[in-house]
Amino acid sequence: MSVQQLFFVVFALITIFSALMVVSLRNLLHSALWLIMALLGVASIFAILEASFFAAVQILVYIGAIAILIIFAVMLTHNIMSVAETQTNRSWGIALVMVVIIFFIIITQISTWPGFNTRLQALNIPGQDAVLAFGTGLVDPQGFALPFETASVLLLAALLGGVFIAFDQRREKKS
Amino acid sequence: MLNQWLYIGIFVVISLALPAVAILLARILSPKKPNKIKNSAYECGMETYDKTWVQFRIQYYLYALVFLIFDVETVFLFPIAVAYNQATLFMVIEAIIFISILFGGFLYVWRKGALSWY
Amino acid sequence: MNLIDFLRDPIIAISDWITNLFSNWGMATDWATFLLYLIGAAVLGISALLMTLFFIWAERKIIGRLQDRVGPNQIGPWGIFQSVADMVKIFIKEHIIPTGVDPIPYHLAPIVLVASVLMVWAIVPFSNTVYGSNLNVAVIFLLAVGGLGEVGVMMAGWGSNNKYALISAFRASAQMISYEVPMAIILLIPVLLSSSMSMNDIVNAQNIPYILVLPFGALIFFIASIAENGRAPFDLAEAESELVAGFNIEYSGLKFGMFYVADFLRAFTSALIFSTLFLGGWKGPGAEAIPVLGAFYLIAKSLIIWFLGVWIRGSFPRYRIDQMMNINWKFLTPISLVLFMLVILFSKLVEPVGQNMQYLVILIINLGLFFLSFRILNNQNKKKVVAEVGSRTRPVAKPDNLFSKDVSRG
Repeated sequence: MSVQQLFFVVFALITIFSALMVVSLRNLLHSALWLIMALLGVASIFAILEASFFAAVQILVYIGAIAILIIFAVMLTHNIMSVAETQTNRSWGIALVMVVIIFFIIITQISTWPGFNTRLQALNIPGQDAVLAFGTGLVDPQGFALPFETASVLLLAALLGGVFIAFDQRREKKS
Repeated sequence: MLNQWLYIGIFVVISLALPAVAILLARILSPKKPNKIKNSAYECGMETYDKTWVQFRIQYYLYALVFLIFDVETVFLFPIAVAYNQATLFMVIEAIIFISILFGGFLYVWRKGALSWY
Repeated sequence: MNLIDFLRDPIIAISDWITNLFSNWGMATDWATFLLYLIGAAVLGISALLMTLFFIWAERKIIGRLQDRVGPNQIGPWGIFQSVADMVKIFIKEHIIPTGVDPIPYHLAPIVLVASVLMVWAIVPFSNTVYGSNLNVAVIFLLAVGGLGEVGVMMAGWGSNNKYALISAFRASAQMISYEVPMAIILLIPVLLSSSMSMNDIVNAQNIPYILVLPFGALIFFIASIAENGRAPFDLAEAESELVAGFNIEYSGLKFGMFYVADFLRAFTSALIFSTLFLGGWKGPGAEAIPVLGAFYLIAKSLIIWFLGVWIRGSFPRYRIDQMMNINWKFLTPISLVLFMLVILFSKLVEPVGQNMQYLVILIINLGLFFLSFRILNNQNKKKVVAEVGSRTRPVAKPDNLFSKDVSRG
């Protein structure tokens, strides 16, 4: 096993463990902190694959903005202090059996698929040129210009929607 | 195998380890005499008045939301800025349309008063 | 190698010697480079933390002189060992851990905060040949580690089990995330001018330091980085003379020392970044041939910018929280967006003429926007009519005692 694979296994285990912690802890703020750890794990996997732009953007947007937003939203809920709720369903035994069966079915079927077994070719565009290609592709009319502009409309919708919903609450609280 | 992030990874480990080692060293060297008064929460020298839970103002959430939107916008703009020398005027106009759509949203949010502290 | 070659570039000479040593011992080149990175990173981290001692002393002396007092002068000549004495004192102070703290956020917060400041040093090019990592997305990495700082502040406030620490942590993180927006938008312009996000490429492309091309953008970046750091006049969240230390109320001993170190180190680090991006980094006369000179130029430029920051700290009164947020969201962000839009449009229109024309056009846009924006601000200020409470002359009750010194206005 090469060093790269070793690093990948370590980071993948960290990510999976953090994800398990996110869904099983009772304290909401601890879940948010484990979410940050899981996102850091994903960013390191991007870094191993030399997708530098995505690793940096993952940390910037997910951890620097979305995780902060989640922490603020967690603190907005009133019963953050109550740790009396259970996190698991009552019928978790049957669910576990079904999940394990389906997992084995999927794994045995996918491992015979040729797309899974052949080694991927690395992109021919090294480092800096990858970002350059991304940039020209984003605004190229034959490229992704229309999805680019649609993304801005999507962001506008998110901004207006979020402000509209939160602002009503603010006015309620004030009066 | 060596890529640019290897140094960053090593530096992350070292920059987490240096303060941690220093703090551990200080814990070993420092006296440990906890008593009840020292361990109580600080509230201007009196006993704690109320529950330790504060009414969270929604204004913080609005600031974080607007920051998120502009952060994602800036992330889209970075590759365009890198590819600027190869871009034609049409592509620059496209980028300006992108920014002005979000600028319009920002003006709406401003006029609605969601950016003021009170 | 002879002495001159060693003096020209000592760090590369030492690292070459170490690599030779390792390969003579029979180690593969990959492992040798890995160990070299490890040693280099450790040296850089430790020297950055030790430089903080010098900066704390220098800042206290300068602020003292600005406030017409002497500053520390007892321990050592001119008090230079004051920081060492403070460090020894903080090391042996008791760590008082209040009851009811959340252990993981409480103990990790100072470490995360110091780590987020130290990580910036990995991407700064110190000279032609000495740099940590030539990351090709260094500018985004810069913004990303700012985000990690915000997470650290929230962890400190939440873990302290103290509602004043929590309020202060909300305010501090709201302030930090707000001021990242104009920083990010202004950072786009040096990236645009050098067509690369790597710090090495930005420094190499600065034949003219970018502050001469975009002075207004550099000013916005400077203000935003002071505010992101939480220094005066933007230090409401941990005002040392008002809210008792803000989100680090419940920390004592070296944990508080770490917050302090992060604060002061961040001031110098943002000066380092500013001089790399806008002042030309290690460039200067003779820096390509003699790399050590490049490192000296960089440190000298950063010291000047850092001194400017300390000067501002000692001179301005503190902003209120709503004034701080208004400065960011109602002035800096729209102005930087408009600046960016105008720069990309006009710079592309005059691109066929040549690069110098582009620089001139950007300079004109910057100066124009500077005067326009301050004209608009002045008009806004004049529009606010200050209501008069009463007329100027009002009858004052005359005292019975004729010998009192009350002057009656009439």
